[in-house]
Amino acid sequence: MDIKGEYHIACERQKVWDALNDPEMLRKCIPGCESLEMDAENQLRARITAIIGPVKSSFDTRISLQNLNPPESYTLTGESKAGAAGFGRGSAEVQLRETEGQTQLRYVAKFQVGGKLAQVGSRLVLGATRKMADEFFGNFSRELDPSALRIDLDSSESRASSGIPQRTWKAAALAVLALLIWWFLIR
Amino acid sequence: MYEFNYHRPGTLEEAKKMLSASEDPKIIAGGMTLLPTMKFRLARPSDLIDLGNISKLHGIRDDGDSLFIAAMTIHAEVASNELVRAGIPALAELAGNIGDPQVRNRGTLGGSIANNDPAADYPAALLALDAVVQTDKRSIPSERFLSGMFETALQSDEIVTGVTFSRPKRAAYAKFPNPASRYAIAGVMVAEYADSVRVAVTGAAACAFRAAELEQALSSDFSAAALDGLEIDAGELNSDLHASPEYRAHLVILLAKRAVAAAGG
Repeated sequence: MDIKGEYHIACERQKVWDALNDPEMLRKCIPGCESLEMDAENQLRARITAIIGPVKSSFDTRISLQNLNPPESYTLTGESKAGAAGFGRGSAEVQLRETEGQTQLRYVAKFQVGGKLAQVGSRLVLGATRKMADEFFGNFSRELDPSALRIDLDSSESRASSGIPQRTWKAAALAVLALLIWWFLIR
Repeated sequence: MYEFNYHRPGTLEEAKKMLSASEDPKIIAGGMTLLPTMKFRLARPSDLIDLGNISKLHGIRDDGDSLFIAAMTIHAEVASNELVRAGIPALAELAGNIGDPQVRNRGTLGGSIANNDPAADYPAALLALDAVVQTDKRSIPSERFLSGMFETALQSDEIVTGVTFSRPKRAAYAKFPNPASRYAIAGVMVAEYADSVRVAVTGAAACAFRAAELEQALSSDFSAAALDGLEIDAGELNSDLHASPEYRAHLVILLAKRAVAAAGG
């Protein structure tokens, strides 16, 4: 399942790019992020508390940045394991385009679940991921530009958005995993 | 399950004080979702604040055009209460088919709607019966209260005190339950009022919703035949091992027809 999003930020592209690569900025914007550290070049370690319904759980997660093409694009990948229940794996391609001194942020994210988790329901995963992405992007764009605009690409898949998706992405993956485990166990 | 402190306040004021004094508190009503989640260690509240002893949160009242049901009323009581059976029989019927007898004798109206599980039955009743959720701070119309998947308009220190349901001319709820959990794979409640028809769907999407097209069709002709040929867009519906989005879309129309027929339309 793909999740796409696009955002317009009244900021130069370089600034958006820098913000996307600033651990402190990301920490502030990822919903539930308690800590985020740079382990190595383009390797991040985050501790994120996911809250969905009755679930409130913290996860350690590793995120890596690949295909870096500053200040234009990169790919974000992350993976979490949930023991016997399965795994979650995500990636997001983020693109920044400059238009008249403003920046267009576009992302396409993919999320896969495997093992028993995969039986649980892709729509719920999509819903939870989109929600987290929305929240993250909203936070991020407001930090840079209080009047940033979210653009709907199409009716169903477009809500989230671009720039920060990587982080978002990861946070979303974690929340989704928690939700899935819980869902799977309860039903 | 991790350790936690357990509180059982006797008044709302006391409960609010405990909420603000605790480090990471969670309110518990029936605990039908919270307790399993805690047992799986997916939640670790420092303090549980049990609302069971607050007398203000119990009781059912007939207000003429509406019915007020207090938050801590268990499903079994809604199902068997004379005021509900006489005033809004469809609501008693809905409550009587939630979960199993254990759930119906522990689970509460307030707990269910505060959790807003996408497959729970009560959210459909909230939307179809034009309900207003009462909290210790304000009144919230159901459409604003149910804000998303497992999300409500409640603030972290806000407590549901009860729900006011508008009394319809006639109404019915039809659901296709998961045979194990009895959660709705899809569930539809229809309610006819003097000036409108409301159709609410649960179990099918990330959050319960009203089906505007079905409402329109039924407003001019309250009969199952009025729904012939109508379709629900499967694009936003849930997919899991129980049912595909297309199957759920089919179920919604089918269940809406059954509900209309059951309501006498």
